[in-house]
Parts: sequence; C-alpha cells; structure tokens
Amino acid sequence: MDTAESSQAAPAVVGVGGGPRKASGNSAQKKFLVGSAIIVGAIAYLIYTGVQASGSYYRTVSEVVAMGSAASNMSLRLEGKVSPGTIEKDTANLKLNFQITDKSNKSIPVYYEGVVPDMFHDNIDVVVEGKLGQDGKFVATKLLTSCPSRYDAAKEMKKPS
Amino acid sequence: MNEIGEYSLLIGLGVSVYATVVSFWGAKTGARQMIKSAEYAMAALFMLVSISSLALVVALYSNDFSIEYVYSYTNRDLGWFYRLTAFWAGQKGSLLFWSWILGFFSVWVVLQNANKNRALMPYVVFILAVTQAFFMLLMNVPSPVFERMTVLPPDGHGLNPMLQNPGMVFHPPALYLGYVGFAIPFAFAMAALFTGHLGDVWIRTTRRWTIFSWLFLTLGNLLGANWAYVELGWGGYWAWDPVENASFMPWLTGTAFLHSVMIQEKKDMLKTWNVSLISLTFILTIFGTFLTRSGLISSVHSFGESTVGTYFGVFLIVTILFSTGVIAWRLPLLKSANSMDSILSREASFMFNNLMLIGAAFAVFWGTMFPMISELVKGEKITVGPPFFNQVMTPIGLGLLLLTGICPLIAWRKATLSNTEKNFLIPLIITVTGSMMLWGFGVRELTPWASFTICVFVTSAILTEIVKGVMARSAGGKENYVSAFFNLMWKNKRRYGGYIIHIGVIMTFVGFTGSWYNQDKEANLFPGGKIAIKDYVLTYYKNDYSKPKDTVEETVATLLIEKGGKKIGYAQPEHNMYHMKNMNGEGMPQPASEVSIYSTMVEDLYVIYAALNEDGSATFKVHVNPLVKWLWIGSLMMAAGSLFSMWPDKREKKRFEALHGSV
Repeated sequence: MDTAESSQAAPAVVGVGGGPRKASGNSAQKKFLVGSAIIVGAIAYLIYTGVQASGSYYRTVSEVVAMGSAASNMSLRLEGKVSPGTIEKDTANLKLNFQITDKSNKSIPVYYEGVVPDMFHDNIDVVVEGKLGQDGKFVATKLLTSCPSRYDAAKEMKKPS
Repeated sequence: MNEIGEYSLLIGLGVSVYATVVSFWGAKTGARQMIKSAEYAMAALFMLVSISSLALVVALYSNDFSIEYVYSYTNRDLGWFYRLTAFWAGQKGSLLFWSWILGFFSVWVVLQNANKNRALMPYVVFILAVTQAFFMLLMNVPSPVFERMTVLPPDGHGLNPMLQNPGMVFHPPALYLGYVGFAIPFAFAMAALFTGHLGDVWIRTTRRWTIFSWLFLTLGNLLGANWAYVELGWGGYWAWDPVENASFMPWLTGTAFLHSVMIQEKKDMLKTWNVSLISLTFILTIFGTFLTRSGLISSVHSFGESTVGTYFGVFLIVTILFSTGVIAWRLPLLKSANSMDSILSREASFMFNNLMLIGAAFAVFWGTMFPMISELVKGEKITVGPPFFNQVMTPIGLGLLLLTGICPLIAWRKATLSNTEKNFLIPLIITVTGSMMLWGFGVRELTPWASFTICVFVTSAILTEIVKGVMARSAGGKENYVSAFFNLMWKNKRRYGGYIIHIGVIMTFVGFTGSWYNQDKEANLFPGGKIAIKDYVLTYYKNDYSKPKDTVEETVATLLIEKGGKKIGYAQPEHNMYHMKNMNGEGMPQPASEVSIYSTMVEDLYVIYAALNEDGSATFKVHVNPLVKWLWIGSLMMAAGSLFSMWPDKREKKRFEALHGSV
C-alpha cells in the first residue's frame, strides 16, 4: 500500500515530520474538533426536526374517542378491528369507508382511498395511519391488515415431545 | 437421522464449551497442547454442525413432517428448489445455518493461521468458541431445531408464498455471511487487546475478512431490496422497516471501520477508535438479530416473539460489557503516538467520513427505536416512518458521497493549498459544466440536482485520478495507455478496488435519486379499459385463471403496453392465492401478487395486479420508477470492486512480511 500510493500521493505531500509538526498538529486538532462539532450538530438537528415533522402517535380507538376534538389534525396510528357490517366499498373509484373498533366497543369512522389489501374484511385486525378530521372522520393514508401469524398457528398444535 | 442431528447439537454444545475453556486456559498458560486441542475442538464442532445441517436438509427433502420445523415451512407441493430455502426461512433453521457458517469460518481462520499469529490465535478461538457456545445453547434449549410434533400430520403447513422467490435463495445467506463474517475481525481485535499486540497486525490479518463481510452485508442488503422490489409489490425497494434498519446499521459502522483502519495502517492513529468500531459493528449484528427475534419492535419480517429474543438480549448485554471492559482495561496501551498533521489531509477527510457514517447509524438507530425511546421518556409511543429517515438520511448520504469525491484529491498527512487547488481544478470544471447541463435538462429541484451534481463530481474526481496515474505510467514511453491502465489497476488492487466500489456507490445514488421522480397511478378496469401514466398507455386485455397445484390459484392479467403511441410489449402481473392449511384444515388463503416489471436503463414500468373484484373488474396500480436499474448495476460494481481489492497480492504479502517478519 505504501509504495503503491507513493507514486500518486508524493507530489502533494509536503514536510513529513520536522519542527512545526507539533504546533500544526494542535491547530489541526482544533480545526478537526470544530468540523466534528458542526457535523454532529447538523445530524442532531436533522434528527430533531425529522422527529418533529414525521412523528405519529400510537393511540387506541377509545383513547381517540375520549380525546374528542383535541385529537384532530394530529398524526395518529390506530390499531383496531373492522366493525362487522360497516364496510362500504366503492370499487370503481377505489374509495373505502368503514368503522374501526376495539374492545371498548367505541368506534371511529375511517375513510381510505387506494388499493384495499386482499385480507381486508369484517373483524380483521387493521392498522391505520392518518389524521382525524374536524368532522370526526379518520382519513387514513395507510391501511395495513395484520394476519394471524402462521408461527403462532403452528405453535398451538405442537408440544415438546 | 433426526436423532443424529439432535445429538450432534447436544454434543456440539459440550464441545463448544470445552473449546471456550481450553482456549482461554491455553492462552493464559501458553500451553501449546491446550491451544491445539481448542483448535481441533473447533474443527470437531464444525463437523457436528454440518452433520446436524445435513440431517435437517434430509428431513426437509423427505417430507418428514414429524419435525415441527419441516411441518411449519414446507408441504408436499413445494418444489425442490424452495426446500433448500426453507432451511433458513424460519428461526430454528436460520440459527443452525448461522452456526454452520460460523463453524466454517472458524476452521478457515484456524487453518489460515496454523503457523501465524500464534499469540493472537488462542484468544481468537476463545471469542469464536463463546459465540458458537451461545448458538449451541439456543439450538438445544429455547429453540430446538429437531423438535417433534406430537401427532404426525399428513402434510406440511407450507412455505410463505412471499418467500417463494429466487431472491430468497441468495438474500439470507448473503446477509448471514456478512453478519457472521464480522465476528472474525472482532475476534482478532479482542485478541489484540488481550495480548497487547495493538499494532496493525490484527488489522492487516483480517483485512480480507473485513472486505469479505462488508461485501456480503452490502449484497445482502441490496438483494433484500431487490427481493422487496420484485416480490412484495408495493413499488419500492426500501421501506425503512426495523429489520432493514437492523442490517443497515452494522453496514454503516462496518463501512466506517473499512475506512478508518487505513489510518491506523498509515499513521498508527485511531487505535481505540478502530477496536471500538469493530466491536460496535459486531454488537450491531447481534442487536439486529435481537431486534427481529424479540418482538420488541413490530416489523413485517418479525419471526414472532419468542424466548430466543431474551437470550439474544442477554448475549447482547454481555458482549457490550465485555468489549467495553476490555477496551477500557487496555486504554493506556491504545494511546497513539501520532496526531493529525493538518485538517487538509486525507486522514481528516476519512475521519469526517467516519463521523458521518456513525451519525447516520445513530440516526437510523434513533428512528428505529423511537417508539421505545419516546415511551420511556415521554410515556407516549410515537413512531417515525419513512419520511423521517428520508429527511435525515438524504443530507447525510449526500455529504458522504461528496467526501468520496474530495478524499482522493487530498494528499495524506498534509496537503498544500496550491496542490489541492490543482487537483480539484479539472473535476470542478467538469462538475460545474455537468450541473449546468442538468439544470438545462430540467433537473431544477434542489435535492436531485445536488445529488446528480455530486455524482458528476465524484465520477470526475475518480476518473481524473485514474487518468493521472495512467499518464504517469506511460510517460516514459515504455507502456502504452492500455497496458499502463491495467498495470496501474493490477499493481494497486486495494486502491483501485476501492475506486471501483465508489463508482458502484455513485450508481446506487443515481438509482436512489431517480425515486424523486417516481409516479404512480391506480385504476379499476374492465377488459378493454385503459390506464395512462407519463407517456405510457396500458390496455387491460384479458384475464387467465388456472390452478396449477392443489394449494395454489393463479390469475394472470395481460395488459398491452404502448409508449408514445407505439406498442412495446405486454405486462402480465399475477394475483395469486395460496391456501396454507394446518392439520385441521384451517387457515386463511394468503394472497400474493407477482408484479410485472418492464425495465430499461431509464426507468421501470412496474405493474401490480392489486385486486380482483366481485363485479369482474380488476384493480391495477402502475408505477413509473426512473433509474432503478442503476441500483442493481451499482451493487454488481461494488461486488466487483470488493473482489478486486481482495485478490491475493504478492507485493502486499512481501511488504507485510518485511514489516512484521516472515512467519
């Protein structure tokens, strides 16, 4: 490596070692610290603003209902079940309305526009991300269905032999 | 056969514990026989794990559903090809696979160093043996690979259709090779700390291991991205999912390590930093596994919560405490005699590169763990999604890319301003011209404009360096340009291999930047219906249904693609149903879409058959993703560059022997 590099690097290298090295080393170290501080500060700033801009709160259905209008315009991530019989699907225009509910039996109307996952049907566990509008309707930008993991299904049946 | 596999693992546990104890004892007392015995034990362990792996493979191929793992991940319909991938499709199999790779690497290292590094080797074996003992424990206690079913089921549950993709053959092994590979430089770093041989011998000895691991981690990540792109069917390749992040973090720190070791070799600086970085990288590989197995953070890849997560958590803590402790203990020996000469030096640019890579790793960690962190601090679970990562990582990534271009233009130690100006002149002229041309072509938003401009800069910086080298070689008139070029590359494999990798990196950035111009459109169509996006028009032509297997239903749509009024081909996306049932015949049908991708160097037309509706209509989602192909080409380039810089080099060997004596 050393000899390999020298043909390239040699013309640009000046004063290896020598008297002023220590002094320049110190000021170099200072400059390096300043540079490092700038980089660290910039990354910290990016992280901070990033969290501010894109944080989305985990809430249950009953929590959102309890919050009332305080919850509107807040980025939320809601988990719950699809209330049976509430699905209204406009296939041609890819629009979907349904109600999401949880154990408390409270429910929130959800509106979603886009491709509906295949697994989506009554009583299935869903995760929706989006915002609650002033009218109390949750406008979802993301709709995920979680299927019962096959890992669990397998576990139920086997016992250690 | 199953019993053989099972007992092999049990004996393996004993052997790995034996190797751990004896290697450490041998290291402390210097008893040759003990050290040899520990090395033989590692070979025996590899044999045992191999036997066990073979037993599992036999079980997978012979439909032995008495084994829970075989039942869970295969069924009678599964083709021979995917039976192999079932080996690492689930937790138990992947632990065995992991252990097998570690065993293989350990034997390799022992053979490689049969007559070298004799002081370091006992500790190296010790670290590897402890790691193996941990995996052996997992495979015997919380996650027994050959666990039986109480009743013999007539058929298996089947392999997740998502995993039935050729990409799954390469993605997990590549990732594991990368993960496990980093255990080797880590083991050598710890050995260097224990013995106090803290020069660059451990670094030079493991240089190829580091590049090898880095290469496979890179490929593992990119193959995963490719798999997500062609199989998951959401139109993208990277979603900042916790599991993706888990393998991205060690990649970032590993990349930092790859660069910072050069400073220790050149200048004998950064000793503490390097041992810390490799420890961090190793810790992050364990952390990644912990994250996916513990169910701590929900993810699409999650293996389901299991006690294995707890074991990994404990192992993680032990590793952190152990490596921190050893480094702290040796801190006095790690003091560097040298310091930086100038801020205008290649060392400084390497250090800034390191800082940014670590910052990037921290940002990814923060974003991934944010639901937990916010719950601990604020009592509220807050999640940050892809927008966070894109917002934070784009500037860091561009900064790093910029350094890739600046670095080779600055000399080691101390560059003079005039020389640096001279080095920058040509690349800067090319860059300014290029950036104006980009503007002229309509690239006017800051992010893509900056990104492409930096790509031009880095490319021109690397090419200028190569041209300069070729000119210098051919100056005497002895070599023509072509032979000068090949000699230059061949005689400096490490340096030019690095440049080839950097060119690959530029290509991947071109691919990433293309996503800025992504477009998509959804439509619900009856046969004859059209969907238009950009200058493409797709006409839904027909729908074919078939049932190739008992458990599989396939629906294939055919769409005519026209571009600018000209017919260019057909898209045939599929919407399939897999019926995976358990013993009682229960189970929901699982849909799996097969996307259709019409790919060119300029852009991909990506067609998803999203849904087949009751009224006979079909829902399609069409994406136009510019420049995605550059990502895959870039990854091949990076692989080529890594191999090039790993290629055996006589000159390097001679220099090493001259420095450290022939061994």
